[in-house]
Amino acid sequence: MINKKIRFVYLYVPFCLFLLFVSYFGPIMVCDIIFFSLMYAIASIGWAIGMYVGQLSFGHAAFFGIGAYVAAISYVKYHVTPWVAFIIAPLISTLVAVAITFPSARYGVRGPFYSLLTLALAEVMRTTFLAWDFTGRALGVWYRIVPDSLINFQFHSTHAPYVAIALIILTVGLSLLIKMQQTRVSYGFITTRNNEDAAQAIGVDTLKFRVLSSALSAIITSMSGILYAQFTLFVSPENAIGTYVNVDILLPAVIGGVFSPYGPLLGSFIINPLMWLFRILFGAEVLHMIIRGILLVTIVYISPRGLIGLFTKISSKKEGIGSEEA
Amino acid sequence: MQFDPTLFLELLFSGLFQGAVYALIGTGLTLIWGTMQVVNFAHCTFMTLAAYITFWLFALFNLDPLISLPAIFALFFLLGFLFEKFSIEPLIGKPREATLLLTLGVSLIIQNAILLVWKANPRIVNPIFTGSLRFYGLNINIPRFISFVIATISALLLHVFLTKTIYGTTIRGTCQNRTAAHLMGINVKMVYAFSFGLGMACAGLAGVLICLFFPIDPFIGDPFIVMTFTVIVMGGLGNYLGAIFSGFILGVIEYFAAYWIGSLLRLTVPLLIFIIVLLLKPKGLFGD
Repeated sequence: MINKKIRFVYLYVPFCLFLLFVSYFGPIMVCDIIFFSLMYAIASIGWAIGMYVGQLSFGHAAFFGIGAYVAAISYVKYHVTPWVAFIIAPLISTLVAVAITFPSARYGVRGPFYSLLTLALAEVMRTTFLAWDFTGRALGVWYRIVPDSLINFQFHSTHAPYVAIALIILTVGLSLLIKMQQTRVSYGFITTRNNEDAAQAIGVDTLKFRVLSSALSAIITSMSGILYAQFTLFVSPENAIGTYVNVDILLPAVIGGVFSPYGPLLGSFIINPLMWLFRILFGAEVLHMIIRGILLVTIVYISPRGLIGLFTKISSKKEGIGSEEA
Repeated sequence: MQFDPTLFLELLFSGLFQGAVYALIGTGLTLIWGTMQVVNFAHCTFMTLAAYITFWLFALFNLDPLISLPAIFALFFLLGFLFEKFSIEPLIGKPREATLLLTLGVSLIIQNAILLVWKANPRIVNPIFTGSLRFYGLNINIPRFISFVIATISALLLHVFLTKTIYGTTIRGTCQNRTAAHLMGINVKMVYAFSFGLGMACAGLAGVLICLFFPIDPFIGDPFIVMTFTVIVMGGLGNYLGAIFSGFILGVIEYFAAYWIGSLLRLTVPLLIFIIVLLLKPKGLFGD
């Protein structure tokens, strides 16, 4: 098991260096694809942390939107550097996540109900932001375009710094996850996921684990929202909290594999380049939503644990290990 | 603000008329949930599909929605039956999120296929009965009233079917304990497919009914998704009468909210109710 992890790390570092190299010296479109893949990978890792305790969220667009809106509003309305969003957005999204998860863990809202609750949260946020002057209503928030600088968090001549920043966030997030898997917290997560009642019966504080996981998950997803706002320089209720954002967030993790830290990364680097390819080939936004749907349906039949789940299933059969992946 | 009884009554009736559709969809969804413990995320997308098929029947063959109603009911029953047989059934016993993700994927496919085939511009179906009725100073829109009557009758019929007939008893028995039902000689898989078909047929009916008074577009189902789930959560999952009542309640709340808070925020209030009910009374307002 330890060998396996070290192997992944050895793969990960050259992978990052390769991405950086390509984004600095390659064409700008490739750089954009890499950036979007990384951004959705981060969001999806956040989403997957919720799944660790069995909280399937259909409303992570809410946290994505919080990140995006905090960055945009702090820069456009209050004229402070968007970097403050990295402090404020996690705080707000933690508050929201705890406000949703604490009562639901307390009053036994779980399974599909939790999913619907999060969906309702995202919808409430979207409709509120559509009607709220502070968030610019349906027009959203538009950035002023300023020359490249780190303090303004805008890079136009090359998009490579965005990739570098995304990589830093991704690496921090991933190492956090891997560290967490070596602590007893991960066991708490697994018992909570597998059987919440039984876990409570043997004295596991499932409420603590559920709140912890949703807070972590919200923080990481909101980071990805900040990246999104800084990259597109335009935030609206549709593109930051819209219904399809939820799908974009959960799809990489579902395809790559929810219960492995590298799963969302793998899924994101499969799906986003694919989607860009389809966009170039066919152009229709409609068509690639259909393809997303087909991918989602297919993966559910092939392996509900994602592609990495498929590999571990095969390898565990070979090695005779019957345990489920943490 | 001065109290205006006519306005109050008009809002009330509009809410009730809208609520009837919610009640109908909610009953179908709660039937599926209650029997199979499957949350059908694509329910409202199937409703949109039904609306578009109605539109097509109207535009191509000049069939009035009220005439195509039974055909759509049968078609969607069959569709639901087959959908359950071939796509949900293989997933029973897999992790529970599998069916959620599956129905999410299916709803994405259908919604965007609709967008591809029929494009995004709103379509209008002109039913035979139009106009409005004046009734003691109240304006009652006739298509809305017809849809209200049909939706209420179908939801009540479904309730009667489930409580009074032997088939209904079979379904409810399967809800309560599928192992015991299996041991009593009930073909549980058949019951699943049947109740999924029945639930879907309700969505189909609702699709026809919204054609009567809404211009339809591919995203018409979106506000319904959370709304319907609110209906079934408020009613208590698997509680058919509860779903009918809360459908009406929510419709009325939606219209009053639209009037007093503004049309943009009219969906926020029911959503907040959904969140509050789920957190404080997870078994529903009419739960046992």
